[in-house]
This record gives sequence, structure tokens and C-alpha cells, in this order.
Amino acid sequence: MQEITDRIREEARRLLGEELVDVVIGYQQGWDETIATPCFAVQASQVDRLIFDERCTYNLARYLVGREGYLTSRFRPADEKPRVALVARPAAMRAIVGLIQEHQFKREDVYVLGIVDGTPVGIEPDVQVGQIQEDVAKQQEIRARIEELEALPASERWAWWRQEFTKCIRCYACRQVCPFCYCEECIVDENQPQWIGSSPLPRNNTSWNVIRAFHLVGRCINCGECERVCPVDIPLNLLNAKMAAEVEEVFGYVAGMDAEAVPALATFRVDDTDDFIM
Amino acid sequence: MQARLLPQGKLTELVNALIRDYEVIAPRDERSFARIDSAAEMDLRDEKPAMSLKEFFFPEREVLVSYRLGTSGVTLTEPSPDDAARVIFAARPCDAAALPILDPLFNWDYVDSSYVERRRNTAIVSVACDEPCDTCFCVSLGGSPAGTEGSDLLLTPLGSTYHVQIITERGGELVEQYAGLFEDSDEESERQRAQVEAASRSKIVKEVDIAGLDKTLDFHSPVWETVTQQCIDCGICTFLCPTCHCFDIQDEGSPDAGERVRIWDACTFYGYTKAHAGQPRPTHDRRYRQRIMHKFRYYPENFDRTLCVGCGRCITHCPVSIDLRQVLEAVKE
Amino acid sequence: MDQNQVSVETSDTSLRTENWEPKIVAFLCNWCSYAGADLAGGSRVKYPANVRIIRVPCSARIDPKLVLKGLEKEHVDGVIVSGCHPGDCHYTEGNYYARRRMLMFHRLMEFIGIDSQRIRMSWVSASEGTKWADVVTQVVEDIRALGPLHPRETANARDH
Repeated sequence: MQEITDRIREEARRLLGEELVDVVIGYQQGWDETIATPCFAVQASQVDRLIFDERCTYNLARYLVGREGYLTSRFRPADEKPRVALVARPAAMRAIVGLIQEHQFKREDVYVLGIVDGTPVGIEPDVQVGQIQEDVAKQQEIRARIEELEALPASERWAWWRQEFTKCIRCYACRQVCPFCYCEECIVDENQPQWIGSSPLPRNNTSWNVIRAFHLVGRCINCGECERVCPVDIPLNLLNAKMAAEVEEVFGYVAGMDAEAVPALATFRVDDTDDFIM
Repeated sequence: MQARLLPQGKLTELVNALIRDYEVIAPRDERSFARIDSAAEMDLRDEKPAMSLKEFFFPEREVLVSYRLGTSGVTLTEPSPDDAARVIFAARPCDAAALPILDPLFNWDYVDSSYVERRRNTAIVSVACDEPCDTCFCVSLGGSPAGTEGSDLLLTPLGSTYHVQIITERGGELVEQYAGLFEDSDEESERQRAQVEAASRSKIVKEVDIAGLDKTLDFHSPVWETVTQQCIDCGICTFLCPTCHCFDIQDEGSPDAGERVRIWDACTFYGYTKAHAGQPRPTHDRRYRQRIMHKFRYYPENFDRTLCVGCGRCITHCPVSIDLRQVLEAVKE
Repeated sequence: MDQNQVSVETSDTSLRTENWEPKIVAFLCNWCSYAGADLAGGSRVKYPANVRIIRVPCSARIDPKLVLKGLEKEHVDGVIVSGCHPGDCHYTEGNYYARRRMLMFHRLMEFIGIDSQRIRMSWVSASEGTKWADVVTQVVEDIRALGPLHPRETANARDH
């Protein structure tokens, strides 16, 4: 891991020192040695703050987009867009692929300091700064939990999800941390009409979590951040992982693999199935 | 009033006895406090629940009035008063200390009668922390792992027994109600209690000096822009905070029948303070600045209290691990 | 009635009250399905009155938020989305997108445990008045068998 840190600093020093980028977004030491926090280095002198190790798991791609995103900010003229370098784990790279597919920015707008793990990703990093182990156990655990749920009768499944959604406090951390939740006016904030009730009633919470999961179908790259940040431990990523599996099974599409591809729900085939239609 | 002792083995009996006579709220899991029906449901782990006690006085959703359109016109109904007698058991000293800080606000230009009612009807039995977390900094806010502010009774674990400090008259009445379970305290126990508190205090790893911040915190400091970059504008710090109290009022229902409700809101959200004329805090550095200024400068200006108890939940649960202590240090310069 | 009580959702068929009738909200595309429903009316085809129709320009207009909002309403037990047959969309392709969307929405509902039989999709053309009547008849029967989605309030609630 130390080599990755060194490589990142070396690259960042070069990029900032030669004024090739305006900011390097990476990780830095957090409030103790088990915690990292995002770092926004703008000068070569700040480069030694950058670190990379097991605690650096946040998906930093979310800082690129949205109302205040580095590459899409409403508060800066388009021709003054900062040149950004991003320390990107595989999930962040897949997020970047998706964001390029959705025309949020172009590939050349972000300098990717990529960390690979052997899993497929739809872009090449500008510089590969390191290699880590794929977390196979995590993927298996998610699959196992989905299978467990699918084995239950529908009414039990609904009761289980209902109990989970009842816990929701509507902090929207899941939304804020997600690279694909970049809408400047989220559907939940619309109140003319109020599609989704704002108060934390079970039915409102269900609508919120279901809609968010649905709006991510064919887009989510399963970084798992939503589940990590939820303060009341709702297993949000199960919904997203399940739908990603459905999209792959039905449409043969996997998010984050091809920056030229059209996302699954933004296209169609004339021979898509009609089985469920009366 | 003379302190008491509660043998470790009698704790369950006390809680079950309280459940017979009151609605009892206790830590249920790592997420929240909740109403319990037996002592077995209580979870006394070291880490405090993510949710604080404020939801029992300032609920996340509260009906203000319901309406129904009938054949003879509109009927408005106020909710029935929430006057159940409650005991919050195994509260944290920091959560208890938050309530006297909020009291002047809910009794200010508008008296929130349901908050006041609940405060009147709820007794708070706190348990001192003997293992503060890495993110606790109650001592920086004038509190302590064995702080008494806001509690009626404070239990300090002494190994085989709990030291029971009687802080208020209501606390004394509670002890009298279950007198058979308690023993008298003695010098040795008093000494041990002080020792436990001192040991706990020393375990707090990172403090922050906020002296004078209520006068010196600078709205115009250029540091705000850089120190807030990581913030992703969710509502976790606000919703988990025992002292944050922003809210929104919405109507839910149909033209026929519905409710006007008050729900939690967060100044960190983009939609907060967004008005027809515009949004005075369009970027998150301004919103984050507002939050800190409110807690450490404006609230003290209005109420002589800092709107923070140093519980550290905002640090523990922040999705990007922002440390409020570090932020305060940075803006002090 | 306790004014503090808020409606709780459940698919428990034991909540059926004696005079419960399924209530269905239907989103019909303007060019085909709505015209088809109109034809059913004009031809005096008899079919259950349990459906409330909302006209949309195209089935592609349907965001699941509309379906969920419909289902959230205390008196609604099911939703139908109906559009032009594939190849006949007035906007050429809208129904193709809607088809993918609704299929995925079905799968998500199934995973959550909400019976996807409550959310139906149909292709009904402007000349298929009898088909529309058949669709509604079938869906009403299916939902009658499933039971109410929400418990009912007392009979004097204004219902429309």
C-alpha cells in the first residue's frame, strides 16, 4: 500500500507542480489512524497529505458531478471548469464510465489515477498508481443475501423490507454519497406535486427507497457506498445489486463497462419481451 | 439528597418495575433508543445509539393538526396531548445535557406545548460512560462522561454495583418509589465514583478548546471554503445531533382529509432556506458555515448556551469522516 | 376514529370489509389506449366501474413515481399502464422504453415483496374497445382475489 501512496504523491506532485491540473482529489489522514477522509490538494506543497490504504474506500467520483460538482458546477462558467485529477478505485472508475455515458463530462475532463483490482472497468486510467485485491467475499455475501430473500414467500419479504424502510430517517446520505444521484432537483424535493411524502412514515420511506433504487436501474455500479453510510443500517445495496443482476439477465447489459454504450433503460430492442404485458 | 447504591443484579428488577408503572425508553440496539416492554430488550453496549434522545421530545414527525372535509364543512382536530408518564433509562449524560440546552428555544417566542408537556412528564435516568469513544468530546463543552446536567438520576458503574446520584426532586421520588432495591452509599463508593469519572475523562482522546468562540468565530474567514470541501450535504450530522432542531412543516393527505405535520429538516440540505426570491446559501460552504456559526456563536448569543454537547455522533457517522473538532481548530485561526 | 392513526399498508386479505371494491388507477396513453377506452364507452361495452383513468401523452411518460403515488393513496389497490402496440407508438418509440421500464419495475416490486399482479401493463389500440373492457375485467378480478392493499376507513369516508 505504501507504494501506492508514493506513486500517487509522485503523480500529484508532477501534475500540480507543472500546472497540468487544478486539483487532485484523493484521500488523506482522518481523525485517527483507522480513518481516511477526502483530500483536495491544489498545490504541490499539499501533496504529502495524500495517502492510500485499506481505509480509503469512499467513492470520490461523486465530487465530480451535481450542482456543485467539480466538472458540472452551476456556480462557475463552463469555460472555467477546473482540471481535475482523481484517485479512483475500480468502483470510482466504473462510476466515471457511467457519468461519461450520461454526458456529465468527457473522458478527457478527468485525469484518472487508477487503482485496479483485476475486475473489468470501461476506461483505462491515465496512470495506474496501484493494484489491490478484489473483495470477492463481499460480492458472494451480497449474492447469498439476495438468494436468502428470494427464497422467502412474497408476504414475508414485504414484511422484512417494510421493517427496514420503517427505520429510514430520510437523511438522504444514500443519495448524497451516490455518484449517480446528481439531479439538481431530486424527485423527493418536488412538492408541486409531492410525489414522495417527506415525512418518515413507512409508506413514504418505502416510496423513497424504491424510487431511488429504480432511478438507479441500469446505472448503479454497486460501489456499496449507500449501504455503508446509512446511519440506521438499511441494506440498500441489496436492492441495487439485485436490479443490476436483473438488467444483466434480461438485457445483457452491465454498468460501468463501456463508455460508448447506451445505458439499458435509455434504449430498447424491438424484440424485447412482452411476456408480462396483457 | 443522600446518594444510593444499586447492586448490579438489581438493575433488571428496577427496569422491569419501572416498565410496570411507566412507559420506559432505553437503548435498544446500536441504532436508537426505543420503548421497551422488558429489561431484556435493553442494550447497554459501550457505543451510544446513532439516534439521540431528541426524538422523544421533538419527534421526527409530529402532527400539528388534522383536517377532514365533511358534509357540513371542514373539521380541524388537534392531536391528543402526549401526557404519558415516561422514564428514559440508560440515557447518556451527553444526550441528557442536550435537553436543558434546547429548553429555552422551545419556550421562546413560541411555546411548543407538546415539547414542554413531554419534558414535564419524562424522567431521565442516565448511566455514566466508563468507555468513551474516540469521537466523544463532552468535556470540551463543559460536560463529562459522568455529567449530571439534564438527568434526574445518574448511575455510575462501580463493578458489582451502581452508584446512584440523586440530582433532582423527581429523581429522589423515583428512588423512594423503589426504595427496596437501593442501598445507602458510603465513603468508599463515593471515592470510587469519583475515580471512575476521572478515569473516563482521561480516556477522551481529542478535545477542542472552544473558549471565546462565541465571540470570535468569524463569518468572513476564508477558511470556510477549504474546510468544508468534503461535506456532501446530507442530513446525518443534523439528524443524529442531540441539539439540532431545524424543521419543516408540510401537509400530507388529500383534499378530503389529511394532516399538517412538522418534520425534521437540515440546514445542510440545498432546499433549506430556499425561498421564492432565491437561495441565500447556494453552495455548501455557506451552509456548513451556517451550521457551525449557529451552534457556536448565534445560539450562545441568544441563549447563553453552546448548541453542542460533544457527543461526537457527527464525527462517527459522517459519511466522509469530517471531524468537527478539526473544523473548529481550523476556523479558530 | 383516532385522528392520530395513520393508514398502514398491508396485503392482508383479512382486511377485506364486506362491501370492499377494488379500486384501480389506469394511466392510458392519449393516442391508443385512451381512445380505445373511449370507444368502449361509446359502444356501451359493459365493464367494471372500478377503474379511474388518467390520460398521459404516451406510455413512456410513466415514471414509477406515478405508479407508486397511485398505490400510496389509501383507496387504491392496483395500477394499469396501457399504451400503443409495439411499432404503433404515436411518438415512434415511446412504448419500447416504457416496456423496459415497466419490466424492471415489476422485478423490483417482486423483490420488495409487493405482488406485481397489482401493477399491470397492456397494449390497447384505439380500435380495441372490447380489449380494454377485457383488460379491466381481468385486472379487477385478479385484484379482488388479492385483497385490499390498504385497510379501509369506515364507509362514510368520501370516496372519489
